[in-house]
Formats: sequence, C-alpha cells, structure tokens
Amino acid sequence: MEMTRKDFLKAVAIAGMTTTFSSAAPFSVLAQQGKNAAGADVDLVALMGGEPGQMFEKGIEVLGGMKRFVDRGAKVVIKPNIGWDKKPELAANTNPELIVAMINAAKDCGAKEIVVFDNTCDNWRKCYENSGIEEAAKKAGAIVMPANEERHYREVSLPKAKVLKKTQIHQAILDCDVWFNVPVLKNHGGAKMTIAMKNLMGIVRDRQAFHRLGLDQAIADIGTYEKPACLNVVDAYRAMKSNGPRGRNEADVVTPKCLFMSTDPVAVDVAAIRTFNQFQKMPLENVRYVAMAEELNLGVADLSKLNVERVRM
Amino acid sequence: MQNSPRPVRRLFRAATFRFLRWTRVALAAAVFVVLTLFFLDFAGFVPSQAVWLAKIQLIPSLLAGSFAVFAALVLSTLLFGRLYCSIVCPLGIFQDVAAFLARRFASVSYFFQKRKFAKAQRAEQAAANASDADDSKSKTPVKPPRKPSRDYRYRRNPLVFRAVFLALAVASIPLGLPFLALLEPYGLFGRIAVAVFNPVYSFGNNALEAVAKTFENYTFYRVDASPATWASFGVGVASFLILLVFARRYGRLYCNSICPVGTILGAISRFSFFKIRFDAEKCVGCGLCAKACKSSCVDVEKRRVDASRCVVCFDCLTVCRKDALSFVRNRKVELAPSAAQADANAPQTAAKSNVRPLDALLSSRESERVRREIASFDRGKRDFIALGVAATTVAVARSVFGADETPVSETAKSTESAPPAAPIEAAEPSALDKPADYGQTPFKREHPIAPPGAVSFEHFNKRCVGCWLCVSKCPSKVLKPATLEYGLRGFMQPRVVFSLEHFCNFDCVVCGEVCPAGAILPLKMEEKHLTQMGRVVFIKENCVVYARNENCGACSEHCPTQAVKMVPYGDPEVGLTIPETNVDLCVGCGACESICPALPYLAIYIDGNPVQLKAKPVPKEEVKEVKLDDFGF
Repeated sequence: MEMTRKDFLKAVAIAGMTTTFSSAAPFSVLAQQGKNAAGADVDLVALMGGEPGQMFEKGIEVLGGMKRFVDRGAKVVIKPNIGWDKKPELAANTNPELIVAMINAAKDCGAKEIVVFDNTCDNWRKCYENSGIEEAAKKAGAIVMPANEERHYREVSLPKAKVLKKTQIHQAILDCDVWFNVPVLKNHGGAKMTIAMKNLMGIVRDRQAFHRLGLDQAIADIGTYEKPACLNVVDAYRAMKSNGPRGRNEADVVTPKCLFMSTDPVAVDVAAIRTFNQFQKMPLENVRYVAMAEELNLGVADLSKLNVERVRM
Repeated sequence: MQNSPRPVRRLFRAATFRFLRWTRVALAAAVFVVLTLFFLDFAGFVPSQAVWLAKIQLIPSLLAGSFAVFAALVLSTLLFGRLYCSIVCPLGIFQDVAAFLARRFASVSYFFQKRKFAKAQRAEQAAANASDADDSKSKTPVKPPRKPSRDYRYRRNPLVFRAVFLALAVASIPLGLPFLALLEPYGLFGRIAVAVFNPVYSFGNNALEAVAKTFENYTFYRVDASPATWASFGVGVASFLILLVFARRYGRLYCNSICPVGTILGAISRFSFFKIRFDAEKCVGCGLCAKACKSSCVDVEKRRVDASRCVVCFDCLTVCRKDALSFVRNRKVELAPSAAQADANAPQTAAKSNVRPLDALLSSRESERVRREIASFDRGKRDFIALGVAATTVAVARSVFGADETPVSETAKSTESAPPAAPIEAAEPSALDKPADYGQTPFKREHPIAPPGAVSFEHFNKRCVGCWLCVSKCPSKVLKPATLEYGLRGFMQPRVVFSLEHFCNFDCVVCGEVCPAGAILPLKMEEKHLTQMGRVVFIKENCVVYARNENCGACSEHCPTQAVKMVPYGDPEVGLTIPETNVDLCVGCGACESICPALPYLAIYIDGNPVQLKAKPVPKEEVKEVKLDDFGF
C-alpha cells in the first residue's frame, strides 16, 4: 500500500470515473459532490491531526459543503453512537464536539429541525447524560429524542436483505429528509469492529434479532434500508482498541485523532479498519460483514477504486 | 373569680397553642412532601440529602446501627413525647393526611346529598299536592342523609394488642419471620408510596410528556408506570386501603395498637418531661378534646390523657375553650380533683357553658374509686412497658449485631455458608413465534441475587424493612420485591431480577446510598466494581455461536469486566468467536443475561451469591500512546 499521493491521483484519474457511478440508489447524489485537486469527485475523506469539530468542518468542505446534503427547511437526523454509560474520554460513544459541529453546520444550511437519538445498550438516561451528547446537542439547538420504547419505532420491510427481512426502525429516521450516521471507531467482541454499518443497530428496536439471525449478515442487511444515511462520519479522534464495544478503562482507549467521511458505508468502514489495524491487528477478512455488505451492493471495499482525499491538519 | 385567668393571658395561651399546632402541621407537611417526592422522583430534582428523612426513622436507624439517631429520638420522646409520630414518621403523617382528606370528601358529599334530598322532598311534596287522593302509589319515603361524624372518641388502651404485636415484631428477627418489616411504619409507608403513589406520579409525568410533545417540547420523557411485581403491588395497595379505612374511622388506630414503634415510644413517653395535662379545676367535661383526639387517648371522664398513645398533635389544646388543657412539665401523677372542689366550681362554670362538669355528677365515693384506679393502673402499666422496652432493645440489638458478620472485602471465597433458600424460578421459556434450534437446555438458579452491598443474605434479610426506596430509585429497574425467593423472612425484600435491557449498571451505587437500614451498605465506586453479587454461568449448548455457527457476542459486548470474553472458535478461516467466562472477574451485573438472544432458554445467566464475594480487579494495562503519521491505506 505504499503509494504516494501523486501516484494515487494518477491511478484515480484512470480508474475513478469508471467505478464511481456503478453503485445503485445511495449514490444518486454523487453528480454534485465535491471535487479533489485533480478535478475528480471525492468519494472518501480521511482527516488526521485536528480537533473533532475542526476536522469535520474541513472534511465537509472537501466533500462540497454541508449544503450538498442539507436543504433549507429539511428535517435532519444525526445518529451518533450513545450506546454506553461512559464519559467521552473512554471512547465508547461518539465525541460530543463532533456532534455539535455537525448540528451547527446543519443549522447554517437552514435545517428546520435536527434530531439526535440512539437506541442505547446501557440505561438510556445514563447514556444520554454521561456521554455528554444530550447536553451538548440540546445546547447547540437539536432535539434529543428518546429511543427506549416500542412506540418510537415503526416496522419496515427490507426486501433486499438476506436474513433480516423486516425490522422496526426509529420514526425519526423514517420521517426525516436526510440523516447522518456518526459512529465512533471501536473494537467489538462479536462483530470484531463497530463503525458505520454496525452503528445502524442503534436505529433498530430489536437488536437481539440481529444476534439470533446471524449478527454479521444482519448488519449487512440493515444497510439495505431504502433511505441510507446521506453521509457516514466516523469519529476516530479517540478509538477503542480492545474490549469493545463497552471497554473496561482508559487502557482500551487510543487517540489517533482521525475522522473519516464518506457516503459509502462500506468504504468508510474499510478505511477506518485499515487505520485501526496500525495500532491493533485487525485483518479486514475477520470483519465478515464488510464482504457481505459488498455483496449486497452497499458500497466498495477496495479503496483503490475510489477517490480518497487525505487531509493532515 | 380567682380561677378565670386574665383575658390577655388567655389570648396569649390560645395563640401559643395555635402556634404549636401549626408548627407541627407545617413540619409534618414538609417532611411528608419531601420524603414522598424523594420516593417518587426519578429525574433527580429532589436533592439527595432528602435521604436523611429516611435515615432518621426509628427502626431503620436501629437496624443500621445509627445509635446516635436512635438516642436522639429517644431523648426527644423523653422531652416532648411522641412528636416523632407526628412529624417524623411518614406513615403517621400519611394517616393524618388521609383522615383529613377523607373527612373533607365526606362533608362535600354530604353537601350534595343534602341538596339531592331537598330536591327529592320538594318533588314529593309537589306530587302529593297534585294528587293527594292517590294513595296507591305509595312511594318509599326519601331518607335524609346522615351527617358524617367528624368525631373521634376515647378508647381503652389496647395493651394486649400492643404487647402481642411488639412481641411478634421483635421475635421475628431471631425466628426468621418477616413481621418486623411488615409491621414497621416506615417500610409500610414506603411500600404504599412505591406501589400506589408511584404509578400515579408516573402516569402524571407521562400525561405531561404527551401534552408537551404536541408542542414539540421534549423536556419530559415517558417512564414505566407498571408495578415492579404484581404481588408487591397487591401488598402495597392492600396496606394503603387498610390504613385509609383505619385513619378515616379511627384516626391513629394503627399507631396505637399495631405499630411497634408506637408501642416503644409510647412506653417512653409516659416519662416525658412535657405532656398534655388537664387542669381539672377548669375542665367542664364538655368532651371537645376527646372528639378531636385522633389517638383516642383523651379520657374526659378521668380527666387524663394517656401519654402512651398521645402523639402530641396539639389538636386538643386548640379546641379546648376553657383553658383546661396545657402542654406542661411533667409532675407527679395528678389525681382528679376532689368531688368537693368540683362541686364548688360547678355552679359557676356550668352556668357559663351550659355543660355540667362530669365530676359534679359523680358521687364522692365514685370519684375516689376513679382516682385510685388511675393511680394503680398507671404504676402497673408503667412497669410492664418499661420491662418490654428493655427486653425489646436488648433482643433487637443482640440479634442484629451479635451475629457473625463479615464485610464484603473480607468475605470468604466459598459460598458454603448459604442459608437455605427456596430455589429460584426455573427459567421460563419465553414465547416467540419461531421455534429455535438452540437454547433448548433448561436451567435452574440456585439462589436469588441480593443487591450489591447486601453483604450476605444473612446480613440483608435481617435488616431490610422492605421500604422499596431502592426499588424506586434503581435507574435500571432491576430491583424487585421478592416473594419467597429468600425464604419467608425475605418476603417483600428486593432482589435483583434481570430482563431485556434491565441489568445492574456497573457505574451505579444508588441502592446502597439510599438504603436507610444498612441492609445494602453504601459502596464506593471502586468497591462496587469489585462486589460480586452473583456469578456467571455459561451453557454452551444454548449459545447461538455453538448451535448456528454464527457470530454473536452480545454477552461479551455488554460485560463491563470482560468476565465474558470472546475467544476464537472453530475453523479459523471462518473467524468465529465464542464466549469464555472467567468468574473471578464477574460482578454478577447481569448485562450478559439481559441481552442473550438464545431462546427459549438463555445461554448465559447469573446465579446469586448467598455471601457476596470480592471479584478480582481487571488486570492493569498500560495506557498506549498512539502516534499515527499514516492512514494505513
């Protein structure tokens, strides 16, 4: 993978355009997306070395600005990982600073309402409070919705799915115009890694069904929901390298200070896993749902086929 | 006219009594409102210091070994009588509130009944006028409504009842019976608050949430209003209804015939420094005081107040129109005035009030007999009660603190000293439409799970009064009143029950913080992290990974200490992992059990520790500094 930036751009110039438009519905907006230095469309932005909010602002600029995703008057949902009753320093939940930057960006585009929620693993009140997300998001002007009751969800069918043929999805997702998937990069005991695709288990009511049906395939399947996230923003400012997704203590946390953004959930997961692999061994093949998702045409796992923009701050 | 005080002095006395009474009412109301709200509050708006209102309750303080509190309560009773029962005990105040409201309601309904009656009468009159000859339609005459009685009356001191219930409560501890907790007033109040008030409060909150949501306001959130268990709901509602009827009809009947605290403090208050006393020279025997006395302890005939039942509410002081009652220093037992004296006063007082003093009606021989009776009765009873109190205190202290207790940190590694307890429910197969090809092996829990900090079943069952404050305060809602899981003595004491999304939060120590009886000891966060209330048991045959060759890991994912860890399983090419347990690290939080998807029987569960153990701390690891200069792709 030793490739200079120049080499890469050359490769992109040849290969990029042919593959970009091959995917289905999720990429219908690609025509308007941001361009890289060579004038090619950017599929994925990887940033390093900045603060969470800063990196998002830079990244979204590279992708063509928030306006590309959020129209005036739009109903927007930002779906972080708030799964655990842990403070931000323990990297179990998405960084609140990133959420705030995203809310502000959406507000600047004239979003009518911005909703933040997650179906938590620990007690939802404790997660919302101790993650720091509830307070920060409310202060930034978002609505923080509960997701702990059946009545917050409606059933949808997933015709393209292999095992998860139907499931209940949170009404905020069902009723919004666009939504952002904002996971945090973590190791995971069952699924090996939890990043963008795994974060979708938090828009679903019955997570146990995933485990019963086969976790990896169900994770891939939920990605076939007809209204995918308009953008996946992977928070790797802090990451959980071991004992995830809950983690035990500070020793599980590393601080790579990275952020990955892409409309392609498979590509963004692969990029994050590759970075993760540098400080904790994690062969891509071990994360079984990546291949399964690719088989369902949810995205591209081979990053060399994509226009990747790398930004160091 | 040396008997009638000067008008200014009379006014001053009346004002003082009114002030005393209203102070009592205000203090009681404050205690009741704050403590009740503390029981119901789930959002944390009542300051946590309110827990002290629970910790100054008599039986809990005794069980917790807070002798300073106990001594202060005894001292205050020695000074002022059973003020505790009027302004500290939430159940006492609850009865006052209930009686007040019930009476208000009765008079309101009487008002409407009266109007209805008047209307019916008019209609009847009109009908009669229209056809006076028509006798064939002889209607049943409309009955006038009965005016609700607002009066209490004097009753004899039910000494036998009091002695029996006190003995039952005290004997319960060594005999392993639940009666102390069931009869004790604070626990009784707690059960009413949690079973009856809590659902009402939650419904109110949920209604508010629904209204606020229509205005796009998300300040409120819905909470579960359903009872912890149906058995506990029944116990709470039954207690509520019984006390409501008691309070409405008989005032403080519970306090003065059943309540062990009432009996103990009643015995002490016989010697209290200040007491309500009759001034027999002024009393005209009108009986207003007796009618106002919710403790039924004012005996007008004998001109005496039974201090063992008086809860010093000052109601009698404010109704007396003759200045005949006062709250004064205790003196030697005052005898009723001689008949001669009463006779001498009689004409004047009677003329003024149109009520003839009782003593005037008694012959001198009769009044002599009454006096002797009072004197002898008091002495005998006093001795009896003093003996009872001494015995009680010793018994309670010995049985509670004499036992061999070991704190969590020093507990043995084995669970041999388990007291016999009924085996816990066999896992119920959960109903799901689809039969599964895994989770077919049933299991049976050996022991219930006591809350973290309970030390041991022995420690816990002996102290818990079943107030359910922890049940109400547990943010994860894993504490549920037991029926017979601990055996009879643990009836209605909380146990830990896991269900989907309900497991003990690793970073929560609320139950120990609020427990007023020292049944659940307060744990520091580091202690909590090492307190093993139960141990994990893994049933491989029921596991999804084993049965279906699919990844799962839900248990390990939720495990805060990685006592359940995913390890490589089967063909390395497939890359599956399966749970592996390390019970030494397990704290028994039940996160794994609560999320295990296996059906109908779980593949992983927690079995309770009869003696809570110390878990091994998670191995220390270096915090790794990561300095990346490449993305890795």
